[in-house]
Amino acid sequence: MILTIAQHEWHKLFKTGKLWKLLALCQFFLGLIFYWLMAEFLQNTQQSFVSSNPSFGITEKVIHPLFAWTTLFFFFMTPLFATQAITHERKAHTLQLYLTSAISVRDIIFGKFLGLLAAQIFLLLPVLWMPLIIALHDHLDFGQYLSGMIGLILLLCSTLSLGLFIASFAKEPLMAAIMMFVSFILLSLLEWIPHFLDPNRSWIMELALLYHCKNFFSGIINSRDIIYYCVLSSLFLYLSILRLEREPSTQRRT
Amino acid sequence: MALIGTNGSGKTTTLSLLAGLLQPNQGQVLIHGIDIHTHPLLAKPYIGFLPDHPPLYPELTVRENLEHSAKLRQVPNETIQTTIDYHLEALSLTQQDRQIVATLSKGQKQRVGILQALLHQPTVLLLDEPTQGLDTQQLEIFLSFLQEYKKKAAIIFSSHHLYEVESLCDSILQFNSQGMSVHDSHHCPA
Repeated sequence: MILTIAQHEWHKLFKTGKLWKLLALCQFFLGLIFYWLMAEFLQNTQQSFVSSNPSFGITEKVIHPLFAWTTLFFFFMTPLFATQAITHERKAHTLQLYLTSAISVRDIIFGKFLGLLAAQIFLLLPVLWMPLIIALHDHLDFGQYLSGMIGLILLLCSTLSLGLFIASFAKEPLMAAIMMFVSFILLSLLEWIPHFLDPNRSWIMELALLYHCKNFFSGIINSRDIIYYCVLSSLFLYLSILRLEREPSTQRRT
Repeated sequence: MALIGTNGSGKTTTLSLLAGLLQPNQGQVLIHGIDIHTHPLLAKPYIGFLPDHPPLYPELTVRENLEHSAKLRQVPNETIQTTIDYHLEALSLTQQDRQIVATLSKGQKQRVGILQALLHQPTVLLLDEPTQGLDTQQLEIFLSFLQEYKKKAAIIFSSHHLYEVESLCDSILQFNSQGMSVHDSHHCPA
């Protein structure tokens, strides 16, 4: 049943053309960033007279920041996906179709999560192929590239599960989308708190959403970072299930 | 059984309770002896529910909507298409098969909603004002279809129209300010 729901989410996004439009937007935005990063890299290497070895640091100087920009781009994209999965469905009364069928809430949440994650990975295609252009003409550090992709996908899992949790209780899609975006930003800003308050409180940094991405983008796969994203995703998926299980009782009338 | 009463008297709430969408403060809802609130996965396959707004995806076609409902209601994959064809034919919707739901009239959407509730052949059919938006001809088709379906299932629906109540129901549950009362359909309250 999880796959049926996932397929339906995927099919709905294609059918409305939403996914193609977002792919075009993703390609345009990240294409511009990639062009800008490449131009800057080439200018810097010429200026530092290392043009005899132009491949030096290209993955670190171009692909690393490209991944960082991609995370920002997906902070805007994720709310669009997550709201349509639950908040829109609640508003259009189609959520009742699931709640009156013999399906567990866990299956509903996992199905929607998988379908939307597949759609978001589809949007990562430009990030997948643009670095390969470098590989055609120069040396690309495939280890760092793959590690960055893993980091991006783990981050998407976390933001999507947080998005689904917010969508599970929000009544209005626009409100839900704003709340998601603000919570992504706030979770990311946790990283800066120790700089302003107490530098000793580094554990607060560890809670920040983007803090654990940096290792992945630098080519380091650390079990601590993997656990952080897995715990965050599981926690918000579990909370979404709990919230949706309470859906009928929230409508209780006397 | 028909549920009748003024607006806000509790018809939709009662149907939502029976469908497992709301939890009762007291008492139980038993479907074939199974409590729908403690064992929803066991009881829900027996229920077909049409809410006051048909739960349809406007961007999908009629068939895509029905296919999705059939899968959710665990209709076997090999029988989904024949089941859909049979029901589309029965409610005169064959021509709208590939039409996008957003382009359908209110009455057509209502009939697609009814089909969604019926696809898995439920033995308890709950319909919240199923005839709203239907014209006279569609109403006749729908009532004769329900007359036939009544032989193999219990149908509970809410309505404001005495004609359909009298033609279809064996008993009536009337909601009023004092509570509720059960009547025989032949002694239909005015």
